[in-house]
Amino acid sequence: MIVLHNVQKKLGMRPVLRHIHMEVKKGECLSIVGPNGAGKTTLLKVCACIHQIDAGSMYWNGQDVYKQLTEYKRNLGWISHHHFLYENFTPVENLRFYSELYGVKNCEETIKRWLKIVDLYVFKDIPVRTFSKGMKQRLSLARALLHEPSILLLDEPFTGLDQDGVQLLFHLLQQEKEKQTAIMMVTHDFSHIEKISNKVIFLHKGEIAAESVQTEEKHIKEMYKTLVDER
Amino acid sequence: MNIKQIWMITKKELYYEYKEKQNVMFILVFALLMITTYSFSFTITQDLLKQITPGFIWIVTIFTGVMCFERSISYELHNDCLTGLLVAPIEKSAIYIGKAIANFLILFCTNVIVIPLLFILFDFRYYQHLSLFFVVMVVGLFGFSIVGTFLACISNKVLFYILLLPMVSPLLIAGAQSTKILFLTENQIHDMFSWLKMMIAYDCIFFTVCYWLIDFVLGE
Repeated sequence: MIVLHNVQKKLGMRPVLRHIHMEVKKGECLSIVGPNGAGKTTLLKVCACIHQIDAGSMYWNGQDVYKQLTEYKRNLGWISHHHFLYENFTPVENLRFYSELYGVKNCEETIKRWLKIVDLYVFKDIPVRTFSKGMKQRLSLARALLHEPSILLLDEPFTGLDQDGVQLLFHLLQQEKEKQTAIMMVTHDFSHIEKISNKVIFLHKGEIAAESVQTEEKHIKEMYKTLVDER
Repeated sequence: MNIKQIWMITKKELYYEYKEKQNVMFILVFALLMITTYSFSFTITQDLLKQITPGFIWIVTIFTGVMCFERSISYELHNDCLTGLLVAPIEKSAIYIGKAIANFLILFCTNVIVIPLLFILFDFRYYQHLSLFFVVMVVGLFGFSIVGTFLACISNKVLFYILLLPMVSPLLIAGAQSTKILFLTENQIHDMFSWLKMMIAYDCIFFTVCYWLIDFVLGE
């Protein structure tokens, strides 16, 4: 479980996150929505410890994240619209590198299994630069999940995926929820939220403007419009 | 400092370079073009050659180094691979040191090819103190790599170019002076050791400073 308590973050002199209180339980999916520049990606980067927080605290399984940073990061998976893949490497070489970074056991077997899951096994020895965007995104799913993370951070994960890719991602996310993985997802596509999320927070100008356990698309759209118009 | 993590990054950098090839080729071709152009542009006597060769070696090193450092970060920014590294359970300093070592090795290998070619094309005969010349090059390239890689990590091209020259000037001056003493005044080797000590001090100071600052530079 991740808990953020009164987290604040400035980028330069500009406050980007203010008084963030939130928690994501095991097996729960929290969606974060908000207009551009609201601080959604920064919030994910804070949760991934890419950015240090300026004030407040962050806990994972009841302990301060910064006191168990390596172990925390080992349990973290990040899926983004950027796929973090080296273009001149083949899928196997990319996954092998990330497996080494995360200390994955039975590396070759795991890579083979994940390439089959994302349906890229036949392309395993072809450089990634020749892949379509959708194929790169599917490989990126394997990259993010091969070390079996217990926390998943998703930054607009549906960008660039075709219908099959979207279905695959939903299937994998559902499996992760069943495995008690805590998921945080930033998305602009409200239709995806109700299929997977348990809770939604609305971020506006770096603050949590509202929180809701109702995840229906219509409800989220109405709330979003009201909040943006009000502010 | 985690040696295993540093090795993973260095290995990946070198393997990427091996796969890419075009970068090393570009650096080599660039260096060779410079040498060839100069060697056929002037009629140079051995005495004049001894005076200009130290500067020429370091000019080639600077240009190849700048390309090497810039490339080592620019390909990480493509597809946001740098974020992938920052999310992974490795220290930011391991990313930096791994890259600096890889850049040092690439520059070293380039110089191992370029300098003998320079000697051949210039018909420059130098056999004395080759081991000392080797030490000067290694110390110089190491310092150049740690500062160049650190500045490239700032991910701001303008700052990289503005800061690189003033920051590496002391090292380059000391490197050129050491090489000049080795080539010109073989019997005053003790003077060279003062410059070499300065280069070693530079390497130690800048390695420590860059190591401590890299956490603030990467990611923020």
